[in-house]
Amino acid sequence: MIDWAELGASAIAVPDARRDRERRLAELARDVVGAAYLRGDFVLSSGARSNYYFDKYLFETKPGILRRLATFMAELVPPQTDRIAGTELGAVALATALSLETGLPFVIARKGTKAYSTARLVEGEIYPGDRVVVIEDVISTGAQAIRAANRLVEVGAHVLGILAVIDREQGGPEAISAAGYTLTTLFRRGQLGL
Amino acid sequence: MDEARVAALLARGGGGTGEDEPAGRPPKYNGLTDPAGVEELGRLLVDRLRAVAPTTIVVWEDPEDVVLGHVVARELGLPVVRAWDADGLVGHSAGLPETPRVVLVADAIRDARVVRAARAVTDREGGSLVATAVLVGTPELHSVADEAGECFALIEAPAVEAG
Repeated sequence: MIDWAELGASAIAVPDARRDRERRLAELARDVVGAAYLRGDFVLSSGARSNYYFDKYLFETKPGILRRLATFMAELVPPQTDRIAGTELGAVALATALSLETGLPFVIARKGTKAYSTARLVEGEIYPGDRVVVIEDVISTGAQAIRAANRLVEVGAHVLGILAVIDREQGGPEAISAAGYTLTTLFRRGQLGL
Repeated sequence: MDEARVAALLARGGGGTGEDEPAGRPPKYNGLTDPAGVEELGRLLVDRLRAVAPTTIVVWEDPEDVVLGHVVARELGLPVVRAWDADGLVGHSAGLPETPRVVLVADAIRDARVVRAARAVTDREGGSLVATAVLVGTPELHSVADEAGECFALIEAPAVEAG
């Protein structure tokens, strides 16, 4: 016998759950901006001057934010993923949090190696054929994420996609797509009011 | 100045004009491997820089350029400030005075943003980028010539290519 009351409750609960998720995501966005948005006189490496700077390390070093980021990012990790890869330096904290959240092992993709170093371009255990999701904190031009993905391909991994916290809307998605990768982000710059 | 001599000194430090490189970009000159050579190249730059009366030498990130910048700065009796890309912001070592007259020193400019960043940092301190001094002139430098102050190059990649 159908319990209409129970069914009715479920039908109501689904949109409620969605609204709750959206509310928690909006809170997280506000907290990310609150932690990392700085006002001042900054010189960007492009040579441009800016009256604000988004210091990603300020949100990546707060456990309350990291934990919630990992929860939302975990929803976006494809189920067939074998391993995640954090790009040096900031995304390593994100990859660690996401690894703890999902139970997936992670590797660290280095920016580069020094001539005198014994370090590898990809630190950690990785095998040819591993299906990997690249984790990035902030996507600007996408160049760093593409480099990391290329390095993983060089060691034989299959890159399922790039997953980032923020798209600064500076051509990153287009560049990443042109490089043959897919990008998923939690937030776009416009959504954050930056 | 003898361009053949400059080319020979560049080669001793692993550098060059890039004419033999697939992308035509000058390989990085490393004065660490040829102290006598970097002394000679640095002094050649100094000869041209005295006229712009700089007060500070700025180099961008690379240790190789720090070595070249040190030679230039020592000959001129000036401090060296090292600047770098710190996750999208320009960071720099201590010693950038107020209203500096800056010369950016590098073996070559491979990214126009380096010139723009040096200029922006200098502008913020109320100073001016009076010159950019390089061993090898590149299209990237010439693309920002109006922002680089006076441009001094010991050798030009196209000239060597033509020769």
